[in-house]
Amino acid sequence: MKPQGRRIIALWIVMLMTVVTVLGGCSNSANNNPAESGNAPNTDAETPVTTNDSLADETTSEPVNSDSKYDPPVTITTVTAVGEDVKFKNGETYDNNVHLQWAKDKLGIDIKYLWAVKTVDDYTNKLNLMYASNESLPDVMFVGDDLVLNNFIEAGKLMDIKEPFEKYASQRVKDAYATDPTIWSKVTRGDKVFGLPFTTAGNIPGGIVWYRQDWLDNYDLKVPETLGEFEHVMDTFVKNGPKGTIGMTLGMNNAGGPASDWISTAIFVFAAYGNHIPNQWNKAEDGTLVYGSIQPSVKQALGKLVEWFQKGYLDPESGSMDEIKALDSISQEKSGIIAGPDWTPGWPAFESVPGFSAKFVSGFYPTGADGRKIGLTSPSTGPQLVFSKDFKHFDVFMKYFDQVIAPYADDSDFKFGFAEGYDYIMEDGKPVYVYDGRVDVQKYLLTNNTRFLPPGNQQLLSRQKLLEGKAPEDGLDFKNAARLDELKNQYIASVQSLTLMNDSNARIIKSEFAGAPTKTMIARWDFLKKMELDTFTRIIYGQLPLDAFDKFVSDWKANGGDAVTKEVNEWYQTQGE
Amino acid sequence: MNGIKPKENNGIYSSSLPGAQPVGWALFKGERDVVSPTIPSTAKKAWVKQDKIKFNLKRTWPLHMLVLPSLIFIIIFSYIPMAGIVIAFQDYKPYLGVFNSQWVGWEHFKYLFTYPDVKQVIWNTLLIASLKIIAGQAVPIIIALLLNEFRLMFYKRVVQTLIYLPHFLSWVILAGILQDILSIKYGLVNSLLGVFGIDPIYFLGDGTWFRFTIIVSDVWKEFGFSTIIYLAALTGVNPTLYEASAIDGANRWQQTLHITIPAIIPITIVVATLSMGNILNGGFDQIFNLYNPLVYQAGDIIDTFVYRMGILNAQFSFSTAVGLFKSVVSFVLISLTYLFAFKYANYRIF
Repeated sequence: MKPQGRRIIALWIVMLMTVVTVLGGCSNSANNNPAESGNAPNTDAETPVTTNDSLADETTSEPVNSDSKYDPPVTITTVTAVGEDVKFKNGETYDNNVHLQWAKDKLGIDIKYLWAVKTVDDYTNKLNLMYASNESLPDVMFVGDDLVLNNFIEAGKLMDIKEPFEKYASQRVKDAYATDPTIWSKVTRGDKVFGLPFTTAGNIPGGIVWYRQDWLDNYDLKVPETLGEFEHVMDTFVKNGPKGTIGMTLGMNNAGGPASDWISTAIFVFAAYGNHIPNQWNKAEDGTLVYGSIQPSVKQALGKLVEWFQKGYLDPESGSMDEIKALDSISQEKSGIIAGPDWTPGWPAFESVPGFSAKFVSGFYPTGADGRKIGLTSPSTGPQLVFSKDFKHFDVFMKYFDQVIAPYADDSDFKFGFAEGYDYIMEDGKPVYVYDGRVDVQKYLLTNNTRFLPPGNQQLLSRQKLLEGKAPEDGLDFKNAARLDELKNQYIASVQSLTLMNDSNARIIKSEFAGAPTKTMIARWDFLKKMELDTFTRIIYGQLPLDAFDKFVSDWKANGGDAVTKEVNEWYQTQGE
Repeated sequence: MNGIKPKENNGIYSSSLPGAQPVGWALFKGERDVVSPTIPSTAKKAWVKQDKIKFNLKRTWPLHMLVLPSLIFIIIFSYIPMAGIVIAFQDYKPYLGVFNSQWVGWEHFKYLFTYPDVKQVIWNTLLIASLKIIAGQAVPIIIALLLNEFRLMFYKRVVQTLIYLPHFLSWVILAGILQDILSIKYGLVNSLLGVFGIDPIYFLGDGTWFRFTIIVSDVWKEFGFSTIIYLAALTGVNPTLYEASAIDGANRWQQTLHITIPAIIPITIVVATLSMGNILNGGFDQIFNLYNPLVYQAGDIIDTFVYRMGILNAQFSFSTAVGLFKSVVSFVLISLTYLFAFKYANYRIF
C-alpha cells in the first residue's frame, strides 16, 4: 500500500477512536443500576415515567374487590438508595422481590423504581441533579437533606398533603402522628404541609457514655455517675495504662466541633455545666430561643476541656480528626471511653472485630453540680417522604402505608415479619429470627421502614420488657428476643432513655430549632460557624486563652448573630406553643 | 569561514574562538542569525526565522480531521456554555431557568468581597497557589536534570514510572495516609525527627506547617508529570553542543548552565504561563480533605469557602460568580505573563 494510503487509514482509525471515546463518555450514565439488578430492566431515567398509566382513572375509585385490592393495578413510581447492607436472596432485586409481589397481589399496587443508587450521598446528588435539571419527580420519594427539601418546596414541585392526609390516612396513622405535633415542623410552610415526616425518635431523650468493662474491672471502678467520678476514671486509665493511653475518644474536626451530636464527642461536658449546648438553639429562661455556643455555661465547659487536654486525657490530635478517625483510638486500645448512641458497640466495628474482645458497658451522662440525670433531645430529623405535585393516588399510598407502618400488629400480614422464609421462619409454630440466610425485608419497603411511627418508643418498650425477663408477646418482641444475648449491652443502653423519660428529676435539654435556614443564616452562618470552631478548638489546644471566648461572643453577635437569633425566634413564634 | 567576526567574550558566547555560539539569553534576544561556521549550512534553517507555511488543505486535511472531534467537543462543552456566565448576575433557580430568574447584578460579587474573612481567604489562596506553582516548576526541572544524567536507561525508565504514579492517587486516600504518617505520636515523620532529637511537629494542626504540608504533598504528587515533559525537552538538545562546549573547556556545571537550562526555557515558559491560570486554585480536593478548624486561618481557600456556602443553600449563582471572578483574574495574569514572555524573552507561544 502506498505510504499516503496507509497514512490516511491510520488517521481515520485514530479519529474514529477519538470519536468513539468521546461518545462513550456521554453514554447513558443516568442508569446507576447497582450490581444486583442484573435481570430487571430499568426504565430510562432520561424519560421519567410519570404516572401516565394511572392517570387513566382521574380519581381513584374505591378498590374493586372485597379484599381491598386495586384492579387494574395502580402504579406508584419511586427512587431509592440501595445500600451495601441490603441483601437479597432467591435472585431477587430491589425492584423485583417478595415484598413488591405482596403489594401487587394483596393490594394491587405496582411499585416501580425509576432508578436506584448505592449510597445516600449518591442519592442526594441525584436529587440535586433532578432539581437542577428541572425534571419531573417520581410519585413518592424520601428526602433526607433539608436543603434539597427546601429547594423542591420552593420550586413548587411537591404536593400539599394537608387535606389528603386528613381524608385518607387511617386512624392508626393519624393517632401515631398526633402523639408528636412538632414532628411536622420541617415540612410545614405556613398552612401547607409538603411531606410525611418520619421520626428518628429524636424527641426521646438520650445520653450514653460507653466504658470498657475490662478496664473498669481491672481497677475496681464502677461506672461513674458524676463528672468528678468520670474524671477519676479517666485519670486512672491514663496513669495506669500503657504509654499513649488517653482518657476519652474525641474527634473535633466536624461541623459540631467538640460537641458533635453523633459520636466521639464531648457534648456531655457542656450538658453538665448548663442547659445550653453548642450548635443547638435552646430555650432560655425568658422563653425565647438562644444559641447555645455563646452562653456562659459553655465557657465553663470549655475551661474543663482545656484542663483535660493539658492533663493528657484528650488525644493531642483530636483537632484534626473527624468522628470516624477518632475511633481508631478504640480499636488501637488507646482509649476506653467514648460517648455515642446505643449502637456504638456494634458499629463502628468494636465488638464485632475479630481479635478485639473487649466489651463495653454503658452509663448515663455524668451529672453536673446539681446531681440530676441529663438527657438530650433533638428535633425529629428523620427523612421526609415527599409526593410529587402530579401524584394522583395519595389514597392508594395511604392504604399501603397503613399496612406496613404497623408491623407486628395482630391484624397485620406482618405479624411476625415482612415475609416468611425471608426475615423469619416458623419453627414449631414459633417465629425464628436468627438463622442462616436471613434477609432484612424491612428494607425492601417503599417506605424503607427503619423507623417506627411516632412516638418511636415501641422498640424501647419491647426491649425493656425483655430485659425484665418477661416473655415475648408480639413480632417485635420475638425479633428483639432473638438477639437479646448478643446485644444485651445495647438494649440496656437504649432503655436508659425510658429511665430518663420517667425520672421527673431528670434535666432534659431540648434542641428546638427545626426550620429552614433563615435569610441571615444563608448570608452569614458559614462565617459565624467558622469563627466558632476556630475559637473553640484553639482554646482547647491552649493556643488562645479562655477569655478569647468573650471576644468570640461579641464578634458573633456583631457579625450577624443577633440578626439570626431574631429570625429564629420569629420562626419559633410561628410554631405555636 | 563565512566571515563572521566573533564578538568579544562578554558572556554571550561560549568562547572567544571562531565557531563560538551565542548561548543563554543571547539566543533569545534576537542574536539568532549568528551561525556557527562549524555547523553545516543545512542546519542553518534551525536558526533562521522560518517563512510562514502556506495553507495547503489538500496535503494537511487528515491532520485537520484528527483535530476536528476535539474542536467540536470544546466548542460544545466549553465555549457555548460560556453564555451561562449570565447566571453569576442572577438569582438563578433551576425551575425558572436562565431567562426567568431574577437579575441581581453585582450582588454576589459584593457579597464575596464583604465576607468578613475574604482578605484572609484570598491571601491564603494566592500564597498557597503561588508557592505550589514555583515549587511545582523548580522541583521537576531539578529532577529532570538529575534524571538526564542517568546512564542506565532501565533505571531511568523505572524511576520515571514510579514518580508518575502518585498522580493517580485520589486526595481522599492520600489524606488518610498523610494523617497517619504525620501523626504526632506514631507517625513515621515525627518518629524520624525524634531520632534527631527534634520535638514532634503537629503538621496538620499548625497553620504554617499546614501550608508547608499542603505544598510539599502536592508537589510530591504531581511532579512526575512535569518531570516527564522536561525530560522530553532535554532529550531534544543537540548532543554536539555538549561536545563543542567540552572542547571549549566547559565543565559539567557550565554545560548545565549554558546548554541544558536554556534548552528547557521555552517549555518552562509555556508551562509557567499556563500555570498562571491556576493562581486562584489552591487545590480544593486536597485542602478540603486535610483541613480542620485549627488551620482555618492559614488554610481556608476560596474554593473551600464556596463549598461551605453551598451547603447552606444551593448557591448556583454565587459559585458561578466566584468562578467568573477567578477566571477573569487568571485570564489577566496569563495575558500579562504572555506579554512579558514575548517582550523580554522574545518568545512566542503562537
